[in-house]
Amino acid sequence: MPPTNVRKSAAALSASAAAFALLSGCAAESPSQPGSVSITVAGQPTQENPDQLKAFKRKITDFTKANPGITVTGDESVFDVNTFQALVAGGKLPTVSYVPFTEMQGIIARQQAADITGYVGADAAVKRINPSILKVATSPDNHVYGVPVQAYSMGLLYNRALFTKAGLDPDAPPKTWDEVRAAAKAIHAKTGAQGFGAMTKDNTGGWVLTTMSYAFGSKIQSDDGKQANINNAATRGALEFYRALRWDDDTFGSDFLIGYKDITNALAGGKVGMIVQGADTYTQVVQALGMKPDDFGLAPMPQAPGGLGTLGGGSVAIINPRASAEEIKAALKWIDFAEFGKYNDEQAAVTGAKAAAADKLPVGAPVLPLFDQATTDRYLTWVKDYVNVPREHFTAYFDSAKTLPLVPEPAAKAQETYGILDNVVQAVLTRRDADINALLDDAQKKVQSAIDAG
Amino acid sequence: MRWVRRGGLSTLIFFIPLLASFGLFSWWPILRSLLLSLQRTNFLTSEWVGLDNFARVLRDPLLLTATWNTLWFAILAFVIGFPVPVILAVFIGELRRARRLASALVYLPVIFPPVVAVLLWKAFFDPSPQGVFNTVLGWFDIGPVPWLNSGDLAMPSIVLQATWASFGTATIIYLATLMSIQTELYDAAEADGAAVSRRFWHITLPQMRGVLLVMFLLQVIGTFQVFTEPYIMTNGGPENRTVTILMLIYRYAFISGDYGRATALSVLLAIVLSALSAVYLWATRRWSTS
Amino acid sequence: MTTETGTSERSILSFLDRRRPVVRVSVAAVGTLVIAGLVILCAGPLFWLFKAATSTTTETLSAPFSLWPSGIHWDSFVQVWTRVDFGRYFWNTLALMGGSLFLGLLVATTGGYGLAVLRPKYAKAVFAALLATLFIPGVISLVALYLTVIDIPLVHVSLLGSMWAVWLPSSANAVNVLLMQRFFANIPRELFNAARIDGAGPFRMFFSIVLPMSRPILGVVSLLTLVGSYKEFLWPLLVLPNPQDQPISVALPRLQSSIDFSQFMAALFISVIIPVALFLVLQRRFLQAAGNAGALKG
Repeated sequence: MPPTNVRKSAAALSASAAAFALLSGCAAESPSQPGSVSITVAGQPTQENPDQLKAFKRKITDFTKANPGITVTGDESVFDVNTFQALVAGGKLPTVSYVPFTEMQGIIARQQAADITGYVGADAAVKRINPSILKVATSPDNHVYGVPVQAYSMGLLYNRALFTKAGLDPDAPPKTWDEVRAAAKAIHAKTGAQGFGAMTKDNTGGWVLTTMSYAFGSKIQSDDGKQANINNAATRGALEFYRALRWDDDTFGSDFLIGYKDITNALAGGKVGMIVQGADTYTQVVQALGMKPDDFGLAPMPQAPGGLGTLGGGSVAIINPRASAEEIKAALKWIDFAEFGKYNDEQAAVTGAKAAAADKLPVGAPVLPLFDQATTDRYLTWVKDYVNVPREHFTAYFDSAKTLPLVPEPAAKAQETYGILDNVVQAVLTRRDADINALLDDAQKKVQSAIDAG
Repeated sequence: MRWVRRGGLSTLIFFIPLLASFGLFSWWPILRSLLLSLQRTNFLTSEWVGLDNFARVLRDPLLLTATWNTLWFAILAFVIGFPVPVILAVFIGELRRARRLASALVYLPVIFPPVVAVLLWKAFFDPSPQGVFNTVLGWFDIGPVPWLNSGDLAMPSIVLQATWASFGTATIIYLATLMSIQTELYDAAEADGAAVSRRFWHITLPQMRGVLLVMFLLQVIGTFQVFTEPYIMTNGGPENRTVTILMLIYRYAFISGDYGRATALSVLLAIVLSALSAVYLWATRRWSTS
Repeated sequence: MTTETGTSERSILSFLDRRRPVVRVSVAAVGTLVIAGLVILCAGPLFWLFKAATSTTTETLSAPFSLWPSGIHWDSFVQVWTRVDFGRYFWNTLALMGGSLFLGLLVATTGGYGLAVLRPKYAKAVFAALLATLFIPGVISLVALYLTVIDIPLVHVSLLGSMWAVWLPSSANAVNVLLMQRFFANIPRELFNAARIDGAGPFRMFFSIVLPMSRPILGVVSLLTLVGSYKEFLWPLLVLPNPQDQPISVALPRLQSSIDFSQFMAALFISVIIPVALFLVLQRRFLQAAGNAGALKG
């Protein structure tokens, strides 16, 4: 999950919105305890997205019908690095809110989420979440501080319409970086659009560069999180790739102060051909930005010889650290209902998918299996009549999920590292004579001293 | 009780809104800043850490960058932004029928909400050849210029926008000063045979000296707290070339949640600004009495 | 202190100067240049914004200066109002302005009255403390003010996400209090003495003498407060984290790249046209207020 505010919010939003829609109309459970408790839940779509909002409201109605003791209020706040600290300090964090994977370890370290270890029953869905995914919400001493609700991996996102216009085959996207470069040239030459694009600010530049480093063959930190390893051949290779597209080919556009919203807007609007981004971006560009589903292309992250794999991301539901025991229980119930019902009950899955499709929300958007492949497959069989996402376009991506390793984020000071790398990316893209080696040496020193400062 | 009978109580009632409002939202926060800068707090416990916050501020390599950027902004804003309103006010002052129209036009950008002006200019600064400014430059075969995307041009571009947004206020204030200069002064000078340029140098400018000095001081204090423009246009980039001190305070406090470090930097900035005002006021007084 | 004394007196140039043809021609030339320059520089962006809001996105992005190649499109405005629900941000803005105006006037009038007319013994100390806040840069208290607002001393209430978090701090405006104080101090003391002899207490004097007499200054302070609160960005951004509570100024940067470009231009245009219209109607007052603020600073 990228470190930018918007990026995070969008993914969290789409995760919850889609899930809510899927579950609407889900069969009521037996009414629970009479003691009443009120919770606020983040992820309520803003008015700009009326379909999603309607689905969300209906979701709440269904939930409260099934749980008469619990009052649920929707909250529009979405994760935003700029306001998260404020909400925590002001005690105004909703009972349930969604944060990106990449923020979780910092949140745990600062004790900004409730410890739910004691509230998770043996048969809870949380227990079945893929351990490598649950790890992002687990502290070093094995306490659980959140529930991962969606996971994805980074891939190459492209505009299929632009590919066709440029005379490229949208069903055979580039597999290597040389092919990416060639495709970028073709797109720029034939359509005038920007061939390849990358985010550069709000820590997203460093986040994508880290993904690129993995694909070029190196991590940027030792696994124990003690040693920064910024100036390595792979990162240099990734930056050389940027440099070539920007300064030799001129296929990288001209604006290098852009974040998640800008780049997804450009992709949806056909202004950029290819970007490196999380697969979940589908919901953002199709649902919120109006891109045609058939124009959305998704390919596995291209790998250089010796590439390590790709970065994973996702969204975690956390509970306000000041929540009472009752509120925590109610919140977990809500998370279960809103996010996981569809995996356990065919009836719930079908009615949910039906409603979602009617609301024009994506059903079957490309994400990684949260539990195991079988659960995901079972869900997809249940709802196959309602899938409105052209999943046949993503076959290569789904196949790669089984073989391409997911490389975790740097263990220590990930956000600081990304911020420092933002500058390196900006330098390479805005200065023709930028000295990549010197920039990386400097970044290495800064990251190391950030790590050492603890 | 005599106090109540003599109206002490009803007098106090009139002071309550002021005392409550300033007490809670002005005086207490100022005091609290000083306290917080010596503490480390996470809202559950606070501990006194002495000057540790200050040490951590001074150790941050970004502080030097931000200080230089802020100074650079102030210098550019002075060079670009200070003379324009003076010259403009003098010209407009000489207009007869068009003076009202000119005043209204000059003040129009000030009416723009700052966020709107910044976002509009951000669109103007589009670095592609089809950008608004680049199209204009293209007519003269210049460019395309990368504007905000160039480390060297980003800050001057921001200053250009900031100057556009604020020169109206200064112009109107100077104009008001010009209009209040006693006409006898000009008449006398003219009678002595002083040409237009001499009248300007020997009457107009000296008469404006006071307001010029005050405006300069206000501009420096204002530019040292610049935030909105770089925050929206570049968020500090490229390569931290537009990170300002206030942006650093904002990041410490509201992104890292490190309130101690943020207040320490606020206090440092406030000390510098207060010292600046003090020195400046002292110099002005000496100047005007000598 | 107005800018409109032009009818009467001379300026640097005298009437004699103006009769010389060289001067007359050059004044006319410079005047035309200045006006033309100002039209392009100050009104130009507003025109362009209107053009961009009523053209399609592609048109504006490919040829920013072509004038409505495919006619005028109003649908961006409709979209902004219906789909983006700009009305809500608008309403929030108005609510913020109204509350700040009310509280600001309350504090400034009562405080100014106390300081200028009632003048109890402690008034000097209060006045000094007030002046001090003018000289201490506001930036020092940004973070501490924020921490105060999220946990009000004594009552321990958090105002975060509530309009009060904007209204209350904005009422502590020393410039407004001083403007009031200065104006009230110029009301002849005899009026108050006479009223006292008639048995009027501080309240009656406040409502029947001070307020009716201070309409001009009330207008100036109201205008300054309203404009100030319409322009605020950083503070509402900090204390109103939820999109549903935010005013236009905070919502716009967020909408920037999540809505279509021409819709965004329409949103910008709507945000600017109302203050501009108000300005055109109340031009004299605005310019007076600007001059006044300068006079106070001087």
